[in-house]
Amino acid sequence: MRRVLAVSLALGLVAAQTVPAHAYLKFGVRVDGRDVTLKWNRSVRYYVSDRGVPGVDPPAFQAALSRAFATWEAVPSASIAYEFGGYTSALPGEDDGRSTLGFVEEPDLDRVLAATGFLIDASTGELLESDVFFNSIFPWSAASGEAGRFDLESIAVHEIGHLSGLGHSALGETEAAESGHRRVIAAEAVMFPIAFSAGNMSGRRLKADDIAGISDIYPDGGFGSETGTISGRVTKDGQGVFGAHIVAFNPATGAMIGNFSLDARGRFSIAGLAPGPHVLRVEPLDDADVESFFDPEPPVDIDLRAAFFNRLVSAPRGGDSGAIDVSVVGK
Amino acid sequence: MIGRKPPAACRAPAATRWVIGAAFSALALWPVPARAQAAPLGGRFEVAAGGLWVQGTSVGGADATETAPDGTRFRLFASRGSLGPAPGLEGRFGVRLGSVLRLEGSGSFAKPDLRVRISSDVEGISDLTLAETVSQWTIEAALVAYLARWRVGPRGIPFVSAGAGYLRQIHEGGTLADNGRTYRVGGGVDYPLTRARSGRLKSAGLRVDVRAAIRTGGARFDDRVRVAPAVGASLFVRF
Repeated sequence: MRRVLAVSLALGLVAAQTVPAHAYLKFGVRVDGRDVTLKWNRSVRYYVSDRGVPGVDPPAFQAALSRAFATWEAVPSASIAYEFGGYTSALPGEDDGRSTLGFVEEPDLDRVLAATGFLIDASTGELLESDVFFNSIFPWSAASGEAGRFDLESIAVHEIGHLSGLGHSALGETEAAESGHRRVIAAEAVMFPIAFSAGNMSGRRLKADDIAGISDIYPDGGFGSETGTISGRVTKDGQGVFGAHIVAFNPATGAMIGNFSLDARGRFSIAGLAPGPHVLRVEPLDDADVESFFDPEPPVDIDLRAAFFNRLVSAPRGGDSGAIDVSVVGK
Repeated sequence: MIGRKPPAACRAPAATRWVIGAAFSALALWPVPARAQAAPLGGRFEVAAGGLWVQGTSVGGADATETAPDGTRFRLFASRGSLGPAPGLEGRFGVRLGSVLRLEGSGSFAKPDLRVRISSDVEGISDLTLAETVSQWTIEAALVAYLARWRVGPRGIPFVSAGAGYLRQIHEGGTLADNGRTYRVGGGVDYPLTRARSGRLKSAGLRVDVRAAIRTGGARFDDRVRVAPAVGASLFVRF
């Protein structure tokens, strides 16, 4: 029997938080004692709310969403496809079997620009419905780089990544702002959980980390045969580290793709790497934003020093590096 | 052939002068006009084995960067790659073409380190060098022109050479290979140690050469052509 589970995740793109880290992350559920990746098993039909906001009428809203969906669809190494089903008067968040994207006024979520929720088949990990709301308390723009307004297309690209099954990437750097919040210094993944300031459009373009993530879930176009994987363990004092960030940097292309150590043994796997030698860098996910990446249990180990693995690691074409044992020390 | 004045030594000067212009530093070993015009190449075939030292070279590299809000790049750390110097083994087979030319095929093996220097980490990780050992194979063909009118010392015969070949570098773990092309120009001295007047073995001797090893492709972090100096020494027998 199919168990349907509504997942309310803190997957919002927020205006200010922190996390100097790196990685793409897939959503998963435990099915019969094994981890299953959340994914769509069919083309995603989506509906667009017929409610606009000042500056963005429904056709402009739909056009911006269409461009954002097309951005993910254009990844040559991924097979996911989306289909516009039409306008709807329903709001996002209603469990009606329709994936709906729309504006909703959420004044209590005064730092959340947008968020994505899911309906999943908990027995298979299949995504059944995914709704995205854009918080209408913020100023929005469907045009190009309007000052003082958040770029709808950029934020939609991020949320559609969630809708497709991707979690947050930690590939970004932040600093404390006078307001007490965190300001983004730089990011290299549209799936980074903190948005650039209003008017910025850099989130419209996918980065290597995003492309690897979506391709890992929906591999196509030679993804498995043309790219490589680096996998191994992160250990501290001989014990596995849960939640460490591992980034594979390619000195030939400058591309960075990462992942986390995802179990008590500290095991990690980074797919989608261009064949060639890579630099591995490990760092902790070390402040309050841990919950935007992981559930509270098991606790993420943030007591480790950032470090490089002491050898270059080659990602073989169509294969796996073999077990790399990255040893770290506490702070 | 022993003791006869080689006709080609007289007919070759035009071509010889041309290659002298391209000769490498081995020709700076005080070449002097030949006195005894002994046959320089002795034997039709040559087999040789020896050692090779290839100097290291940069292989490029990129900074690890992220996109800043204004579109500029924010550097997380810098990386610069190099292929370390390494000794190697080389084998060679040659066929004489006339009196001043020899066509040679050679193969070499070396295990240089591919290195990446990491610096300026944004979180203060100390600068360090990461490396992996690369198994490097080359197969080359080269044309060798002997400068028959010249001698280095009493018996040394200078030569210049140029060739091209195939490069294969297998990364540590044996799961990934990079291929490329090699080109070489250089020169050196063949120094016969023995000569036989009869029997299959015509001569044996020592070769020392220097060359510019030019490479495209292979293990590198950019598409630039790399040139590294190399020195070889080998023992040869001719028959």
